[in-house]
Amino acid sequence: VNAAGWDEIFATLPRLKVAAYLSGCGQAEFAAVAAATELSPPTLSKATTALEGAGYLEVRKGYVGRRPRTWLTLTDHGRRAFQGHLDAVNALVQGSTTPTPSR
Amino acid sequence: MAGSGMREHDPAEAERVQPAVALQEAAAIAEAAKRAASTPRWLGGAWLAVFVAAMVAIAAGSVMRISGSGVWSGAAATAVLFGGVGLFAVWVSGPIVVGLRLRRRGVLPRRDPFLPSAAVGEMPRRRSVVTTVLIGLAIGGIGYWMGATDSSGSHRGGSWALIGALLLSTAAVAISLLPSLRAARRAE
Repeated sequence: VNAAGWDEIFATLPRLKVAAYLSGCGQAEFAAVAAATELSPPTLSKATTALEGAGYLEVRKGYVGRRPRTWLTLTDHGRRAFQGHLDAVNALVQGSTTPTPSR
Repeated sequence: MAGSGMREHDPAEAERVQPAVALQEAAAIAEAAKRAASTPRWLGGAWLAVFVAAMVAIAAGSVMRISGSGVWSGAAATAVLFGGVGLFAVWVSGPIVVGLRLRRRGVLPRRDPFLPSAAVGEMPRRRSVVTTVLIGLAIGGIGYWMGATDSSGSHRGGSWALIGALLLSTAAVAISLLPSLRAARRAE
């Protein structure tokens, strides 16, 4: 995260999509997120692993009836980081700041 | 994006997103999630209608009981009974319907009221369990008061109302716990 709030974790589209979807709900099932974000399961899996590694996402295995399900939740830390990132991006788009996204 | 398989370097994952695109995508996707997790307006309206009718019935019954006597006692008790059952029906049925609907959609709202958590195998929040029991007790208490102030001086009607309300609240908590207990047993 740079001084402007720009977070490299959200710099790629799949991670941004996953975080955006989970920011709009409490928790969502893996397949529901994949369908809504139009990401393939492997791509979604990589994105969730990256977000989970940063502590932004919580993965929980559960059941619906007898079927195993994977539920994804944005942590409070992740929610704050994502909002901070969006604010930074918004500021960048409006030209009110000069971001220096570090790679 | 689709069909990228399990390649070591996923182009979709590596591609950096443009700021303007990021904002548009984030807003659209977050909105879609909110829509998927929300309760339909007609259902919320139906719950509100039953809730208002229940409150009016309880208020009317209480006023009748305080001001009237004789034949009014029966009408007052009936009004409060209908109100109590309606109120409890909203509290218990609402989360069940939402839970089942969300369970089918795979998305849960940020503030799940009660059973949606149980629908995915989570324990219901303690606050929700306590609220359910308190609502049961409140309704039972009103019923007890109605029976206690009966012109015959008998507490029997009120006692039945209290027992019925307690049974209802216990059943509501048990219903919410069953999926969680089943999930916990499977996980062992």
